[in-house]
Amino acid sequence: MIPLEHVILLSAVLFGIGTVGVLIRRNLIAIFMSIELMLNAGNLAFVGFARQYAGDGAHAVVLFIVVLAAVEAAVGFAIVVAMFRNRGTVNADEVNLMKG
Amino acid sequence: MPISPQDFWCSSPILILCGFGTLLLIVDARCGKGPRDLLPIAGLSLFGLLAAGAAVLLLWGEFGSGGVAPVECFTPMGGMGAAIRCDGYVLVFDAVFLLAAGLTCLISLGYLERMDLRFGEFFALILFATAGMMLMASAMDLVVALLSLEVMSIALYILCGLARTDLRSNESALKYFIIGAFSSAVLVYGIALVYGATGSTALPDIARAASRIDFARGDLLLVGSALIVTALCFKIAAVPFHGWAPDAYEGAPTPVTAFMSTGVKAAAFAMFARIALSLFASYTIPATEVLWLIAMLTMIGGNLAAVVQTNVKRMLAYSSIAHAGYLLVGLVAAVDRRQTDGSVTVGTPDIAFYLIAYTLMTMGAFAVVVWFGRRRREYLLIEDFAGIGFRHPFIAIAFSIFLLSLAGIPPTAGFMAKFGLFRSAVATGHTDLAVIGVLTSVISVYYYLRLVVLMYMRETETGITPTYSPATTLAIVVSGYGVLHLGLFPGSLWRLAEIGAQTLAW
Repeated sequence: MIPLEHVILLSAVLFGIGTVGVLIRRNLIAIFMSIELMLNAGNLAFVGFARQYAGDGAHAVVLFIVVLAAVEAAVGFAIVVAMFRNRGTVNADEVNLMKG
Repeated sequence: MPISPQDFWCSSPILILCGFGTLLLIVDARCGKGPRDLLPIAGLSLFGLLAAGAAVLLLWGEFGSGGVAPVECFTPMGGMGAAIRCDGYVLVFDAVFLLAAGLTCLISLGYLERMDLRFGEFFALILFATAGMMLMASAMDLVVALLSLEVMSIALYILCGLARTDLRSNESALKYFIIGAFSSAVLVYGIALVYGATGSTALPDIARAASRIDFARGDLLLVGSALIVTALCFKIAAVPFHGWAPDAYEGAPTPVTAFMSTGVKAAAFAMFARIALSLFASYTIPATEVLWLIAMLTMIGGNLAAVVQTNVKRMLAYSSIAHAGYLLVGLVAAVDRRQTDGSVTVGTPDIAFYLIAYTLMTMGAFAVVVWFGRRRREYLLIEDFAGIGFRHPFIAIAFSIFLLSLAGIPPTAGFMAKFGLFRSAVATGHTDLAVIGVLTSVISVYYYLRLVVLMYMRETETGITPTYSPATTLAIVVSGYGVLHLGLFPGSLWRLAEIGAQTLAW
């Protein structure tokens, strides 16, 4: 049996990679993929803890979060597509009309 | 425990809004493609909001006045806590959300037509977002809180990007979305860690577990709480997590900006207060110190940045950040008192009262800005408002009242609301915060009064003229009356907020 610490450590590493990805990547699609990685890190932590507490409810939470990620993807990509149609770019640094 | 009819009765405002939202989508689809008359759709959405308001009033008669104990609804089988709760606190906030949504519908009617944004789904999305806000205020479980936050946010991402061909609207939706999704991911991880530390996601269980937690798990709780607070600070746009707010507020269609800065802020604070009072119920985490710092930074940062703005919408965005700082002062007081003697009635009624006053005055100010908006030329620069006092005296008077109220000058609602917050800060020994609050309010007088001065002191020959819209006029009259009434006779509403806070205890 895999110990809890390993699961949590893996999820923390994934969360870290996702956070760094959001901060340093400039492609909007890549930023979005990093956010998905962070959400799945949360899922992994939930599953790990749920096995420890033998809580069925927490396993169900993972399903909610998967749905949440899907809904965010639907709206997020719609926004990115609208952006791409108007500007022809998906680079976050070029999204800079407003400042101050 | 199986779902009982009472569960449905207690969540009826939320169900009514969801039902009307779906109905609006169907009606809108039946209208066919192309530009349409928005009046029937707006009327239907207002009717839905009124129906939900009636349900809130009936529920207040039952649970809000404290005669009947608050009800925990939708308790799942398998030993988990209740999903949502119906008490006076929730009902007071429900009223704030309905007020914000109703005024948004009123001011957006003429605006959408002038801007050629004749989308019927606008009103459906407002209703869905309002339902999400109500769920946020009543969530008793961190997972329910997360999901309801998403119900609200996803509707708002779409609303921000409603002007599909407008580059600024695109940019606003994109920034709001990226930051919103990022903060939800942080929230998810925080909830997972808190679950790991306490073995539950239900707020009452977390509060119980946090008070007797051993050190190893204490670390986990500390990191989890920090992540949750970070995510919520993104949502309320507290400094230093505010970078997205001015851009998202400036680019979004103006009625959506108004809705974001009032309804969303109220919902995020309703949820923040409930979560903070559970997570930090006992003194295992130095929560007040952290919140103290964020409150101070937010008050100073928001007000200083607002001083240099030239765009009214952006100035109001920074002012909304500054007001989040004042509200955090109330939260510091609430958490402090909760940690000392476990009571929840200090600070929380002031937060509720402040949010009612803030909703009225901000909605009023945005209604005036919306009134001047045109297609292709929105008249958003502060200079554009020069000389309005001579040409349009009634609008100028209304706008001045809202701005004075935002600055916190008596006899307006803003003064009474700020007074309440700073009073509870002093009562819990945070005199330093109250002093910073008063000093930064003095800074804010500069940029609010600059608009008033421009309106009355500089005469211009030509300038903007508003497009008359009965719905916007109604919104301005309602908010203007509310601001003055709450400033002169705050007693009855204050009492309601206090009763609401008394039923908050669990």
